[in-house]
Amino acid sequence: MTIAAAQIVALSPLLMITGVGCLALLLDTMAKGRAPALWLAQLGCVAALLAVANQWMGSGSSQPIWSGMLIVDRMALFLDGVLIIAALATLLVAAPFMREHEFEHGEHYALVLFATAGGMTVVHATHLLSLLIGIETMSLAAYLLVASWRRQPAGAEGALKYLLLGAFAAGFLVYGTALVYGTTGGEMSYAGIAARAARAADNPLFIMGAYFLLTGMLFKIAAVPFHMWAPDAYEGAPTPVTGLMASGIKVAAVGGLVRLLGSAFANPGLALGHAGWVRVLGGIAFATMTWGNLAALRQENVKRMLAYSSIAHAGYLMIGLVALGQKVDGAQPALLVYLAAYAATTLGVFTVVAWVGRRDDERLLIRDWAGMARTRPAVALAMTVLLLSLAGVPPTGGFFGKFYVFRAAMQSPDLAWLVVAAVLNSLVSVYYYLRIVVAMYFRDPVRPWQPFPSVGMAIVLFVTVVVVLALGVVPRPVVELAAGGLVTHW
Amino acid sequence: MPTYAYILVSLALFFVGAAGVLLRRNVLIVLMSVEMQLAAGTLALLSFSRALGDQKGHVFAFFVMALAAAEAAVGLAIVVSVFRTRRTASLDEVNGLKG
Amino acid sequence: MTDLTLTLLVPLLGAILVMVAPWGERTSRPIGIVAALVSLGQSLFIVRDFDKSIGAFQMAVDRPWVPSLGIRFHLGVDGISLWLVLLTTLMVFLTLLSPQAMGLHKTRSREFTVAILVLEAGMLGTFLAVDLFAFYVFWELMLIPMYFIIGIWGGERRLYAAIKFVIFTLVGSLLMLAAILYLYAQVHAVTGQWTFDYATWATITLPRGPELLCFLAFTLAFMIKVPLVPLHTWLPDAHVEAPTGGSVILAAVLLKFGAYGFLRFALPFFPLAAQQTAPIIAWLAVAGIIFGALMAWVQDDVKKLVAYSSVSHLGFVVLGILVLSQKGIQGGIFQMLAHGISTGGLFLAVGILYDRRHTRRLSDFGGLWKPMPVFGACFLVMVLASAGLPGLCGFVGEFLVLLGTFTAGKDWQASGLAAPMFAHPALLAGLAAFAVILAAVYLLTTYQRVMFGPLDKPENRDPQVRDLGLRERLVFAVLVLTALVMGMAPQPILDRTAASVQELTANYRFRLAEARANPIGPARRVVAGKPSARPASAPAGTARPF
Repeated sequence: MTIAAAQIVALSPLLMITGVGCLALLLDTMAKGRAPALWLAQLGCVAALLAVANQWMGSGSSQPIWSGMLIVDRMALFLDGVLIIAALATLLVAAPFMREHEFEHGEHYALVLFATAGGMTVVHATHLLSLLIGIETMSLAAYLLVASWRRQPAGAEGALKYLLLGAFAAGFLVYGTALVYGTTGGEMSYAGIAARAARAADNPLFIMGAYFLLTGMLFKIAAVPFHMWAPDAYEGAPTPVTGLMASGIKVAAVGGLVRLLGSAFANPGLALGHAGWVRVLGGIAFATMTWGNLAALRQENVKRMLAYSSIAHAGYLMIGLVALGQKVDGAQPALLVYLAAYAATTLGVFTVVAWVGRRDDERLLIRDWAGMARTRPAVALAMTVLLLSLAGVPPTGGFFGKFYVFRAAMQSPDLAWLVVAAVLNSLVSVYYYLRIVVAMYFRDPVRPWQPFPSVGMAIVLFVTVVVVLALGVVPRPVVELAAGGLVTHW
Repeated sequence: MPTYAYILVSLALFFVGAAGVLLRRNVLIVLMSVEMQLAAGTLALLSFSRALGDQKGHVFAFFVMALAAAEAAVGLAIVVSVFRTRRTASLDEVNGLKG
Repeated sequence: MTDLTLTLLVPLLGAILVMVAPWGERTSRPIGIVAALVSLGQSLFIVRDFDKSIGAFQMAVDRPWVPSLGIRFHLGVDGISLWLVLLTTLMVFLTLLSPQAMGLHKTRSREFTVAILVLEAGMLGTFLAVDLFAFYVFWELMLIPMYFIIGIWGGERRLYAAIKFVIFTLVGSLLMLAAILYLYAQVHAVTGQWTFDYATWATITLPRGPELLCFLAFTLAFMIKVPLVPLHTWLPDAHVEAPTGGSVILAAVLLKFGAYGFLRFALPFFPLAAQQTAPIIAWLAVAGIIFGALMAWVQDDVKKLVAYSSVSHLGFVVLGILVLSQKGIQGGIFQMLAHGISTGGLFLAVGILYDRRHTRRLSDFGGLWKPMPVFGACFLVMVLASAGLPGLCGFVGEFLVLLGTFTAGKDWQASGLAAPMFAHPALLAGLAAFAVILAAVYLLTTYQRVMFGPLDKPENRDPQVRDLGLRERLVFAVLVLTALVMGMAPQPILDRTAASVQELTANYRFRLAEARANPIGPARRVVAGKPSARPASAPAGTARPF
């Protein structure tokens, strides 16, 4: 294996984020104050975005890196862009949030970058080792980020649950790798596994290994029944971190699943049939979205409700994965568009939640939001648009993403029931999203709300709302980006 | 010894570890169970590697060891953080977040 | 030639203007009224430029939206939607003009105007959409502004009414989305192209099982909106709790979407399924006519009374549509327009009463002719129009529907429809006619209890109870005039709806005959032999197996 210069250039976004993360960590120890680390991190994100753009314009073909451990293709670059923007948004929101609640520390910024680097590795991964490294880098950084608000015991608790179950999942990933490795005669790369899958498909150990890997990944996207950590982790984490977890980490994990299921386990013998993962994933998708929506109905805490809603969205995303397994053509671009819309919406929503609280008064209950439309009409309107996007009401990006995924699913007659179930679930979700709207608009203010001035949060909120509306009204550029510009040979 | 023997042992270790994670109440025991799972995976990797005459398994095992160390470090740091406020290492009592 | 996109843009631009204009509370109303007036002018131009000999869509705007998915921004107007567009712009204009629009909470007029204008854009878009994706987007777009209007400016139980409205409507529309997606996939399977185009979808026949399911999904969505009993329970709550402006638009325009959607989509796409379920729907419609009338009779709350009268009147529309003859459908369309005018006027009148007296209970009124004679005259015209007095708008619609239903048996035979749509049309017509008598009873007694009799309650003698102001007179002048013109000279209206209705029924009959001839067919494309005026013609129909 040679490390050619061309490959380094191809991986430049990933390397940049990692490098800047390390530098930010160093800078934090050396420089006075947090600002230098923050600025370095933000500049690093922008530079990495430019690198992504540069790579995108470059070759149209996919480039395997390091003997098939990673790949640089349009899908990976698209998701890289989403992840880096999520990181940048998190940085912009985290800094004022931490200053307001007085717990700022520079490692936080470095950890955000490390999590992003891990996520980028996951979406570039075409080998079980790179997948594991990516997942674990992302997760370890996430555990620390969740616990980073030391004064809040909820953070440490959430982080503990996250870590214990996350490590549990890592065990599944490792053991699954071992089984797949053994039963395919020494293959760990997706291409290799795919090549040997036909022969190994009736080996029970291979199937077990595949399911162990799937289980490990499903933990990361908080699918039912592996979701137990998510509500506590999302609620206990500082709100900007919750935003990153709900957007960036979920996007990376789903991206990783797309590659894993789309190439390594694409073999019909493994995918279809009674014990195939398509069926299993279909059932899990149904359970996830239903359970997530029903649980969200009973929540009074906004963060916890949004955590369950995030679980439900993972369910909708899995419908796209199921369609992918049925080899539907439009499934992959649909998933990418939905991921982009979902990430933008989630970042916006959590920005508002982060903005609402003040130093000793986080205002996380729905009734604390009463009357916000009177005092802060622009923010209330933005929140309404974002909530409608989460619910899937036109003309928002959330609607278009759901439409696109459901379209893919409907092309396979077995999946029609899933679409109907998803559509009814959307109905249920409208009810609890509207509860926040009701509080903001239809109730009188209980306590006056004085948000702390923050340019960063305003920028993030504005941009996410614009993106969400743009994706709803003029989705064409993104659709063509996701569908046309991608080379989907594995 | 035939490979399947190693695999059986590693499977046993894995499920014992998994049971430990799900059933035990003391955080440190749970962390140990996780390590046991990773060890089981490592064992499986090494046995397959030896049986196939391939090196990838050995390499992967190294990475798993590094991963296990990192996870243990982070895990213990978080446990300490929890212990500072809760004064307990029992998972049953770590449930301030409910709902 | 009028550009339909502009028709949609004007309300939206108006809304944006209202949002950013300085001195919001004072300037919002005038800006809103101007925007609504421009919109009204545009719809009048559309009526003027409309070619009544063409049955297909005219003045089409057809731009690619997301080409790879077959989504196009395709608008068009035909005989069925023409007058509904005019009704929409007229009622929005009158709502914004009337001082009672916001009910008793006369604050935050800026947000109210924005909500109404966005709602108008959604309503116009729904009527004008030819592409199914665009239709669905605009259909859902109408939901949220109405939710806000009820929830912010509504009465005591506004939260309950608003959320009930949303949930009921969404159940239907989300199931319709699933059906749309299914059809979309089937269209692709049959024709090989991804498209949401109405003309293409209208030529695809599905196998019986899926056809019935899709028909039920579409019909559920539309029948909730009509509303058809027993899906009507959201309506009394929504109407009572909504502010006057909200009630007017809800009754005059929003309820029309049920019948419009059924006529435009459910019938043409699924003829065999429609044939199978028509008897049930017809009986439900007549049941609604009678039930609505009976419920209205016993109400003490005037607003609820008018709400139930809506249920009753709109039953006529559904019945007329189901008859599937020229008379029936044209009668149904006319009844939609007439109901809009008369019930819109009734809600405005009730709103004025509520504004003056802060009560809606019939027992609190009496003898109001003395202090409010001009109001009394206008109210009388609206009541008579609603009751169906010949010479006013309500008569023409009801008469055509009843005539169509009564003679349905002969019409069906004459037109070559192999089997009747439903049995005992004459009986149904008789029952519906009986309800007309009921309507006269409850409407006239209501009027008597409000306006006539001794002015014995001291609150009614309060100087607060004053007659109509200038703006209110203007609004009612328009309504009264329209009711008269429609009642005396309905021919121009009927002329322009004729060609489109003809084309729709012809296509329906053709596809129904084909479906009955091949009952166990796969999904296939079926094209009527008659050339359509639409330039984009489909290739010669071949039965392409799935």
